[in-house]
Amino acid sequence: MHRPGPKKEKTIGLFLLGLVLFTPPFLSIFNSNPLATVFDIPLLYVYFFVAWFFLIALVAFTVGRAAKIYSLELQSSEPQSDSDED
Amino acid sequence: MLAPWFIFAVSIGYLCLLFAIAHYGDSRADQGSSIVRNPYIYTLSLAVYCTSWTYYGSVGRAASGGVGFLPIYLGPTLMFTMGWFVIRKIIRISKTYNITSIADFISSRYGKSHLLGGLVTVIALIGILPYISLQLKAVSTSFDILVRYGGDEFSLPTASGTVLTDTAFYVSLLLAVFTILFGTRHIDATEQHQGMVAAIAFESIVKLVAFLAVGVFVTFSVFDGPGDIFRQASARPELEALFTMDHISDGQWWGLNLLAMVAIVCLPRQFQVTIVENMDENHLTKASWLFPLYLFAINLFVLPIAMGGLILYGGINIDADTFVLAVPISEGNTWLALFVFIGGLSAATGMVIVTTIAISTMVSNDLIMPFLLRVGRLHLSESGDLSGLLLGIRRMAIILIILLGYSYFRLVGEAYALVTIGLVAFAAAAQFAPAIFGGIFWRGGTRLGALTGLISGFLVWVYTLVLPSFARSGWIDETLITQGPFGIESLIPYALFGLDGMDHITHSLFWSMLANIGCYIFFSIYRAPSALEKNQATLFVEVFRQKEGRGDRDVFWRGHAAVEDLISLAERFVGKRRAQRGFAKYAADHGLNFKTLPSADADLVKYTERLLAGAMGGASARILVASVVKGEGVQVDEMMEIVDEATQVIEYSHELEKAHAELKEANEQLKELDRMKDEFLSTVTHELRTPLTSIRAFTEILQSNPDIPAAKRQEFLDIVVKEGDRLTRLVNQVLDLAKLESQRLDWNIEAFDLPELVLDGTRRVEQLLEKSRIGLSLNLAPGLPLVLGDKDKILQVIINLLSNAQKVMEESGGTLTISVSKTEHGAQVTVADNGPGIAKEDQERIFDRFYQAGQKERGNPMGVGLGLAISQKIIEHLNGHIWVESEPGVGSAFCFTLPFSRSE
Repeated sequence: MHRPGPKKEKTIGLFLLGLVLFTPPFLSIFNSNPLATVFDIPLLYVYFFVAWFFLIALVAFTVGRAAKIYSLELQSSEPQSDSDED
Repeated sequence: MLAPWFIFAVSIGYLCLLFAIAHYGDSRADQGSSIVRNPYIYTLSLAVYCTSWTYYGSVGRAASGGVGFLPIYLGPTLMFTMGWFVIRKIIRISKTYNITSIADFISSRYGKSHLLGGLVTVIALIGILPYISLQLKAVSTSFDILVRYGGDEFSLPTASGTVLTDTAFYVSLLLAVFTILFGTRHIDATEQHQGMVAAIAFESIVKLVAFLAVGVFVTFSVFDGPGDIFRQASARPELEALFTMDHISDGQWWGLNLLAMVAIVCLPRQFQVTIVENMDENHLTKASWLFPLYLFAINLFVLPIAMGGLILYGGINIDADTFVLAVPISEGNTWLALFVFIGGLSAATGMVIVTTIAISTMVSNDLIMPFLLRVGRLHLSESGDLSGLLLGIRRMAIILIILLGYSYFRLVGEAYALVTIGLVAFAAAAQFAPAIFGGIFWRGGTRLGALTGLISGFLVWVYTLVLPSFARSGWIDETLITQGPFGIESLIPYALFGLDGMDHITHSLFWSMLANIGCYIFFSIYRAPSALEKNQATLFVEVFRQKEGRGDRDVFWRGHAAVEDLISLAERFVGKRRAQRGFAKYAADHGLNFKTLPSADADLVKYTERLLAGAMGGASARILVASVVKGEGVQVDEMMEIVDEATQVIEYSHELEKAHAELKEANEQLKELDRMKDEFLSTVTHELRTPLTSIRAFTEILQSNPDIPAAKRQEFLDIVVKEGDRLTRLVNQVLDLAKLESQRLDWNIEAFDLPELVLDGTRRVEQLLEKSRIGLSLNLAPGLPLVLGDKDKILQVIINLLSNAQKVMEESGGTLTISVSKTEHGAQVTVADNGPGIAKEDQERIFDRFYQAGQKERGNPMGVGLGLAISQKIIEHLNGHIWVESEPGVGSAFCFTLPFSRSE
C-alpha cells in the first residue's frame, strides 16, 4: 500500500516532540534566576528560538524526504488510493 | 516629516499596486500559466495569519509579557508538524466535495444542515467583525502616528478626525472594491482566486521585509546588536520580569498554544487560504515547514524591538503597540517609518481581504441563499439566470462587512472591547474546532452534537469574554464583572463558578471548550444520526479510502431527473457558460450524448449537485437538486427504511443459516439412526438365522434318517435344545432392549443391599466358573448403605458382566475379582478379569448394540452383543453409571455405580 508523505506516526511523533520542547516544566529549566545569558541574550530567549528552529528543521527534513519518495513513487507507478487511516 | 497627502498617496498607490498584481495573477491564471501554483506562494498566502495585530501587537505583548506572545506562533508550528496528517485530510475532503467555506464544511459534514451552516456563519461574523475593525483601526492609528508625530513628540494617538479625513475610510473603500473585483470574479467559490492569492503573497513579503528591516534597524543601528539591548534591559529592574516565564501560568501557556493551534485551521481566513485556495495538496509538504519558518522569521526581532522601545521610552507613556513605528520616527528615519507603515498596511489589508471573501461566501451561501430557498423567493420553477443574484449577494455582503467593520471601529474607538479583540476572535473561531476535528476523525459525531456544542460554546464565549468587555468599556453596568449578575458571585463572567486565577482568555477557553466538547460528545452519543448524516460522516472520515475520481457513492439520489432540467438549473445558478462547459466535460468523460439520453441517472444528478455546491454550498445545492428530481427525489426516509430492511434481512439470513445448520445436523442424526436401525435389523436377523439354520439342519437329519443310532440322535437333540435356548435368549434380549428403549419396561424400584445381590449373582455362575477353572475373589465392603434400584434388573446386569468375564477367560483361566465399594457417587461394583483385555478403540463402542469386541475372529457363538447395551440402559435408567477400564494383555474391569437410597 502506498504511504505518501510522512507516516502518520512520524507526524504525531514530531508533534509530541514539539509539545515537550515547549512544555512549561521543560521550559522552566531555561527559566533561570538569576538571569543566565548567552552572548548577553537571556538563555530563555535563546532556547525558544533555537528549539523552534530545531523543530522546523526536523519537520523540513522528515517531510521533505517523505515527499521526495512520494514523488518518485508517483513517477514510477500510478497513484493508488492512498490512506493514512489504517 | 512627511506630508499627510504624500503618505495617503503612497498608501493608495500601494493598494493600486496590489490591484495590478492581482490582475496579473488572474490574467496569468486565465492563460493557464499560473504564477501562484507553487508551494512558496501557497506558504506566503498562509502568512495572512500575521495581521496588524501581529505586526504591531506582538511587540506590545512582548513589552508587557516577555515571551508570552510566542504561543500564538508556536501553536501553528505544532499544528503544521501534523499538517500532512490533519490539514491534508481537510483539504482532500474539501476538494472532493467542493467545499466553499468553513461553514459549508461543517454543514456538509453533519448531513448538509442549513441550520449548522447558518450558525457557523453567525458565530464567525460576530467573532471576526471586531477583528476586521482592529485592522482598520491599526491602519488609521499608524497613519495618524506617521502624520502627526514627525519625529519629536509622542503621546497616545487620539481620535482620528472625521470620517472624511480618515485614511482608514478610504482604505476600507478600496479594500471593498479590491475584494469585489478579485474575490467575486467567479460564481464558483471553490475556484481559486489566483489574483487575490498573488496579492496576498506579495503583501506577506512586504510585511516580513518591513518588519525585518525595522528589526535590523533597531537592533544594529539604534543599538549595538541584540546583546547590547538585552544588557541594557537587564540593568533595569522594572524589566526583570520580562526575562522569565514566572508571570505566565502553565494554564495560560497551554491555553494560548491550544488556541493558536486550532485557530490556524478554524479562523475563516485561514480556512480560506489553507483549504479553499489550495491548488495542490502536495504544496502542504513544503508549507508545513516553510510557514513555521515564516512565523519564526517575523518574530525574530519582536523581543529586541520591544526591549529597545522600553529602553528608549522607559519614562514616557507610549503605547508599546506603536514601537515598531515609533522607533524609526524618533530616530529620524522617516523613509523606514513609511516602509514600516506600508508593511502594517499590508498586514491589515491582507487580513481584511481574505476574511471578507471568506465571510461573504459564508453569508451568501449559508445564510441568505438558504433563507431565500426556504421562503420560496427564488421561483425555482421559473427560468432566468440567478447566478447574478448570487454574485450580487456576495458583493453586497463584502461591502456590508467592511463598512460594518469600519463603523464598529469608529463607534467603539479606543474602548477596551477593541483592544483585546485579537485573542477574543481566536476564541470564537476555536468553537469550530470540536465540530471540525471531531468531524474528520470520529464517525460518531452527529448534527445534534455539533449544533449543541457550537451553541453552548458560543454562549459561554459571549458570556465570559464579550459581555465583560462591554462592561469594561462602560456600555453595560460594570457590577457584572465585580459582583456578578444580580449579585450572584459564582456567575462572575471572569471567574465562573469561582474558577479564579486564570487570565480571561484561558478562563473563557476552558469553560467554552468544556461546554462545547461536552455537548458535542454527549448529544452525538445520545441520539442516533439520520441516514444522510451517517453517509456524510463516512464520506468525510474515510475520504482517503475512496477511489480517485469516483468520488462519493451518494446513495441518496435514486430518482430520475430530466437532463435539460438539471442543465437549466445549473445554468441559472452557476452561469450559462460555466454550466455548459461543466456538462460538456461530463458528457465527454462518460461518453454520453445528452440529446439522446432519456433521463439523468444518479451520477449525473450528483454531478449537478456538486457543481452547484461549488457555487452555493452543499446544503443549498441539495435543496435545489431535490426540486428537479422527479418523484422519489430525496430518499432519506425511504433510504433509512431500505437500510433498516437490509439490516433485518441480514439478521434473518443469519437466523436462517443457523436453522439450516441445525436441520442439517438433525438430518445427519436421523440418517445415522436409520443406518443403525438397518444394521440392527440385519444383525438381529443374522443372529436369529444362525441357530434356526442349525435347528433346521439337525431336525431334517432326524426326520429323514429314522434309523439313526440312539446316541447320535440324543446328541442332535441336545444341540437343537441348546440352539432353541439361544434363540429364546436372543429374542428375550431384543425384546428387553426394545422395551428399554421405548421406556415401556416396568420398573420395580426399591432400596436393597447391593453386596447381597452380588453374592446372589455370583452363586448362579459359580458352577460355570468352576467348570472353566476360573478362580473367584470377592471383596465386599462391609456396612454399605442400601442402594436404590430394580433388584431383578441389577441382577441381570451382574450376571451379564460375570458371564462375559467367564467367556473371555474361558480359554486362559485366571481369577475373577468382584468387589463392591463405596464412592462419592454411590456404591460401585467392579468385575475385573485378567483376560486378553479390550483394545482402546473398542472400549468406547463396547456398550453399542451388537458390538462384539474382538469376538469376530474368535468366533464366540454365545454372545449376541446385546448384553452390555441392555446393562447400560438399565444402569443409566437407575441414575447410575457404567464403564470399562481395560488394558490389552492385562485384563478388563467393568464397573457400575448405583446411587444410595435417599433415606439412608
